[in-house]
Amino acid sequence: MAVMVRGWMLPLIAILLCRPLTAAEEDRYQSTILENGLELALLPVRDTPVVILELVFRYGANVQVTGQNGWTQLHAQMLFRSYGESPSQFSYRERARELGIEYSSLSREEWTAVLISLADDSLAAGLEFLLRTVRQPLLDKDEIAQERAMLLERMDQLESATEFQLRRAADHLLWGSSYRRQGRFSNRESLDGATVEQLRLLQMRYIIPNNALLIVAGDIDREEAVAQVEEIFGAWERGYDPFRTHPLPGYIHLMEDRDTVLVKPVASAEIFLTWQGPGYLEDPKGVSAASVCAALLNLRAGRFQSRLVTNGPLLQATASYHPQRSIGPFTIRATALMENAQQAVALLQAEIELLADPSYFSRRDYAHASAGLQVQVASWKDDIWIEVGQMAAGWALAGLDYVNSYPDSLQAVTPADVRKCLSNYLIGQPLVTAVMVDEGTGKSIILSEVQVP
Amino acid sequence: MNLRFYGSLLIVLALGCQKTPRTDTTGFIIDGLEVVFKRTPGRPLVAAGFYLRGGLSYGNPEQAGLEPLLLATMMEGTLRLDEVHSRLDALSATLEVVAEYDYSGLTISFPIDHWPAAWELLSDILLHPRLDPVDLERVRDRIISSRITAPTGPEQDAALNANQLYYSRHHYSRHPWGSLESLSLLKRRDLVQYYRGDVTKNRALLVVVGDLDLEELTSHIRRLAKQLPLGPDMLPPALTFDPGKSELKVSRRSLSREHITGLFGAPRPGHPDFPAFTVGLIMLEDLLYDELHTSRQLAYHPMARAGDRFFNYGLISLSSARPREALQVVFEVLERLTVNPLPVTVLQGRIAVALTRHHRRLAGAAGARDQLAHWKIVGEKWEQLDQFAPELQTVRPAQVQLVMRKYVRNIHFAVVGNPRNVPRKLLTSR
Repeated sequence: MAVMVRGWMLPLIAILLCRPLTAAEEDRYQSTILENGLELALLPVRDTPVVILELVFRYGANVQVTGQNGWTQLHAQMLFRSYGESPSQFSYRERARELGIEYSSLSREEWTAVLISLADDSLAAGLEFLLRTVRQPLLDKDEIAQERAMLLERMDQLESATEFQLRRAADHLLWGSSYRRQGRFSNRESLDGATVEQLRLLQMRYIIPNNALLIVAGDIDREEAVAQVEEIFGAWERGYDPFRTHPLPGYIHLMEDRDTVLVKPVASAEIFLTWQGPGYLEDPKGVSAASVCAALLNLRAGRFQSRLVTNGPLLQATASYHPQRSIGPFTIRATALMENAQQAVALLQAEIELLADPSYFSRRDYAHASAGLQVQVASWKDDIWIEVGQMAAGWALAGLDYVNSYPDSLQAVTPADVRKCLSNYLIGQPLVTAVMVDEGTGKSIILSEVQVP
Repeated sequence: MNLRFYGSLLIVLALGCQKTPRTDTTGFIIDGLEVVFKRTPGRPLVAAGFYLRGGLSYGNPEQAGLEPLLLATMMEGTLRLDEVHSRLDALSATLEVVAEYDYSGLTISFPIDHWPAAWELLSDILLHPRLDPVDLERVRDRIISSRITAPTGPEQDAALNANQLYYSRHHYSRHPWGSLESLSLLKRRDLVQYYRGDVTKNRALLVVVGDLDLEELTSHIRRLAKQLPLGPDMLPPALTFDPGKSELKVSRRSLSREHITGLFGAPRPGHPDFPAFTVGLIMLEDLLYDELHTSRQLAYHPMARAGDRFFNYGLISLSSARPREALQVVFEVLERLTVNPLPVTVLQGRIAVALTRHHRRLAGAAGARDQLAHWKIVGEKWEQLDQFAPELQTVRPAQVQLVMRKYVRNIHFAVVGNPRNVPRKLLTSR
């Protein structure tokens, strides 16, 4: 029997069905957990007349086993092709157009997200559309074949970019046989092997409410939004915890330095230094410290940039840390004039060893890096689309409490934490060096392995 | 008396409870310097930009790239402050050079707590640049490696070639950051001379977005404006640009597929045709995706987009291993879009998408700053930015078909790949 729900009932339903909303960050957002385990975060922003809905699941390339490279990406693409009442991609897209919906999916190493945005007066229709998209994809054989062909097309495009080739070469060395669980694209044969049954297995195992966070952001009324989410998502059945039934294996640790030289027709030398950095599950404090390390190395007036860029052979150098649950890669990407390539690599590697000096970073450096990170967080919050994306990634890493405490966790990092992070993960630790140079330089550069296409 | 007092109080309270606008934009001129200010109450970040109008139409073509090179070198140090970098670190500020086809500029973003120190730093950079020769060499090398000689993929090459073809009789055919040749020839004295004669307040536009007090902001701007020189009047831009008939350029390269970009005319932001054209391109991209990706698997992500220049362009791009079939479909879709009736209901969804994209571009202080500058310089009036959303909502099917017929013709295609796979006659037919 269908039950009619009228507008005035919605706040009442919200009161009856929901656990109390937990306020976070002075009411910046509120969160709750539905009976079926779906986490819900509400992020009202009044001056943007749109609604953004992002549903993020804790599964990505990390669940891929041998021969499955690219499958989670393919599965994420398949979500936006068809569902029960819109059984073809034409009808699916037509429904999206009727509702004025923009949609996209993103499958990363440890999470997969689907995002839609639409006008602020269409929240209920958007929620219905999103639920059907993730819950009832048809995963039709012919449609899978079509989407696979298109992914291969995309792979061809990516492979034609030299920067992609350098990054992939570095990632292969960094992850070894675990690469399939980090790289979204690496192997076209494995995409050929993806079948309806296997994609349905991914769907059944990971696309469940108790493995998901729904973010509702934009010009919304909190109580009304909670009630509508309860009404629409409340009947979605809970599943088995996929990480209990299918625990993820560990990663293969990098045990020794590795390097590679890519010879390409480029005008300046591109250099990647990358390490296996801290992971949240084993070293949550290290995750915050690694972010501060990267900020310290990027200080324009800091010692690293002054010695290597302002007064050194590098044209630019940027450090970055990508936090993950298991192992988060820490990377320094640099550019140098071709004639300085060898010197630049040597100086970069030598400078890393100098980081062991406790006085390498001054007290002022720590203050500036910490303040800069706080401003970075503020800039995310200044743009609702970026804030939603950051919230999704932070939840997938460590939950909403982590998202909430992220600025504080960065501020709590001490110089001792930074030194510990540097000695545990960078200084003297196995390092991957990947360099892209022109043919002439490639012949003379001294790295152990030379890869000529 | 009491009654009147309480009556007034009630009115004041009632007004206070109304949903007041969160933002407020205003434009004014201070001492010859044009300013656009958007107040964003409660927002923690400030974004400002100092823009020089003219872009590629301004200055000597043999010195292409001089203006962005000058601005980037100015960022490295001032006569008063050796340590610009350390000040930027201390202020948690981001300072960047923008180089567009119609303007260049210096933009800064910083937390409001560092107002007015960050403003003073920007002013010092604008008024007292050091232009050190060592800085110049380093900045030049960096620009050449990141902007000029950085490796490009075949998709980008097709887009660059199409740009050169379409604008072959226009200064837009040059790169806003200059060329290897032009940048290599520039000397410090060229930069000094340009700084003295061409960084003038009548070319400049200042855009500020943030929760700042207007009066205080005005007094700071006045101090800057008083010290900026006044140059000769800017010449108004030419009114027309004729790209000529359809043309084709094929660059031979051994690839697994052909990369294709086509450029055609487009109204600029602020033009009466711009809203309908924006919706039309969303419809075109949808139809291309339906046919090329969903239905026939001929291309992964065909695109149809509008540019953002004074003499504007629209663009179609795709990569395909079967370009003859794919391009045949592209031309069929164009025909269908301009001839077949468009249901109003179909249009409404596309308008909603256009509105969402519009709001997304405006998100955040930096987004609002960039859009205000862009619409002021390219569209001439920043007020048109505020009118764009309501104008989009009034777009009708007939307008969309009219503007698509008007603009999507004389397409200039560039292809990177195997010339044998290119349907030459078809590509020069529209």
